[in-house]
Amino acid sequence: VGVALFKNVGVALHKRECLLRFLPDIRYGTENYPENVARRLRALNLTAWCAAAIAAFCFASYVALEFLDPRPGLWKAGVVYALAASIWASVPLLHRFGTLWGPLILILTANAYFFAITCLFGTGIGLQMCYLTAGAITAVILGTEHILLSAVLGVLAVLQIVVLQIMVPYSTGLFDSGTLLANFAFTVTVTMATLIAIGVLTLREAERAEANLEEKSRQLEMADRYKSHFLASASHDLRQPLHALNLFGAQLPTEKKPAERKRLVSRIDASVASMNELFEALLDMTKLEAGTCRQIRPSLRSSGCSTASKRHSPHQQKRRASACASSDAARGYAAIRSCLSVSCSIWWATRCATQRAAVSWLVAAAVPRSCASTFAIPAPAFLRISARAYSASSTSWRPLPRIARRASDSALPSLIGLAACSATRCNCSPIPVAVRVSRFWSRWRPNSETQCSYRRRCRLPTSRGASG
Amino acid sequence: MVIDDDVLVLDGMRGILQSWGCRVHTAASGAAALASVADGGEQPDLIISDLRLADGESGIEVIERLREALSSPIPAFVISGDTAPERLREASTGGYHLLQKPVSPMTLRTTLNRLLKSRETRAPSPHASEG
Repeated sequence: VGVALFKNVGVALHKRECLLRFLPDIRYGTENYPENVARRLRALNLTAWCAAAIAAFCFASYVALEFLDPRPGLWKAGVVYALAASIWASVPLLHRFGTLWGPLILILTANAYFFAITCLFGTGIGLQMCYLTAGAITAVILGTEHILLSAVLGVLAVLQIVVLQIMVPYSTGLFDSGTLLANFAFTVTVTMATLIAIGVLTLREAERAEANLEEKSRQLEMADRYKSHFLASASHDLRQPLHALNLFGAQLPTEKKPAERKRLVSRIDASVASMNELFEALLDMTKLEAGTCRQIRPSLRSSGCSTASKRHSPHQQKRRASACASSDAARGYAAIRSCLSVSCSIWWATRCATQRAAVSWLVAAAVPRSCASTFAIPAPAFLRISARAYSASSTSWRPLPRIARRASDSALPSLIGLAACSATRCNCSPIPVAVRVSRFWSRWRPNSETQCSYRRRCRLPTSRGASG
Repeated sequence: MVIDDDVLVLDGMRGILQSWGCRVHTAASGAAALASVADGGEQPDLIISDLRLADGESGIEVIERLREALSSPIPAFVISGDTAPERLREASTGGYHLLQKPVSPMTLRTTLNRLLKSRETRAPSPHASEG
């Protein structure tokens, strides 16, 4: 029962998801515009769909009324509502032709709709008030950059109101006075609600713009502060070796002892090297900012931590040492994990000897990709090891001793590398060591068929070429 | 007494001051300077400190602590590679003479002589050199 219920719920959710996919999205047609324009167009979409929904509701009401209480001429109003609803619903489709087409069609259709309905029912319906709402919506949607167009549309609306007031009677007789009054109350309420909503939206927009401006200025201030701080730090760090250089340089001419002169020269060299290092770092920063710097993946070959320069102060050395220790530990951990996973994969590959395709997929694709990306292991090392495993698995139909020999040919160097690195406290990476051990292993084996096989398959360079 | 967190600068200062005939004690931090004084070392004639030491330590604070520990207004000046206005303001409000890195040996010697002379005029010292 539980499974059936679960399935039913799943199907229901899936159906709901499928249904939601076909519902209109407020972002429709605005995706290709910048955010400030798209926001306005989204507001336009919302307005158009709300108007279309109201017109569709009115159309449905008039269709129902036509059946319940048929009156001559009522169908015309139904046609107007249906036309208006369909045009407003398709306003988002016009965004692809430009930002002005949607608002213009919406406003012009609204004007025609107000005019037609007022002419049909009389000014007593109060629809001419909606011109005011339309004017406010026009100004909000078109914005200040199209203020002239808004003004023209406003004048057009005023003219229409005047014409309607002069030409159209209070009631054309299609509705009695009670229905007219009810319609008038409804129109006034909707108009007022729309005007308030527009006011609130405008205020919210202004507040948002203000908040954005404040945030931008705060970010700029922070960036300025960071820049000043950076310049001060860079200046301090550059002056430090320059100052030392001055002092050593001043001592050199007066120094008579050769040993002391040699020491001074070495200190001058150290100061110059320190300055070079700082300038290189500054240059690298500039390159990074300019986007011309190539990303260098962290190498596992050498951590370089053991060569902490003696020219740094004790606190700098301490800081570097702690950073290097944590980095060494992380790299060592990642390398051990990677090595273990590779060994396990090789073991699995040899066990599943009959499933050659699965093995080749796992070893050739999954292992290098996952491990290399997760642990930032140099890809060639993984390629070599996985290719080795691949070649072992590809000959899996052959007799077992040979497979075992191939597997040992692949897995043993990795394990030796792992053990060697563990013994040397992870100062070097297990993978390159494994590769080196495997090279040595293959070179000194009487029949290095596996090596040739994986080279041939993966078109890897020869060991001499690779090491060169 | 020279206090600076940069090994190269300390080495350079020691070398040049010794070449001028001074006895020099160097310290990489305020704690090291206080320890060298507390170990029964002789009272320095002059303190030269970097303005910004390691771990956010201020050279001016270290000078104040040394003066307090030795109960003597030992002449001192600060050297700084900082160009941040608040740092410079800090030195000037403390009444310390500030030399901007890189300091030329001539400027260093002039400042040194001036401060030592002012010390001698206030209270004649048995040591002619700093230590």
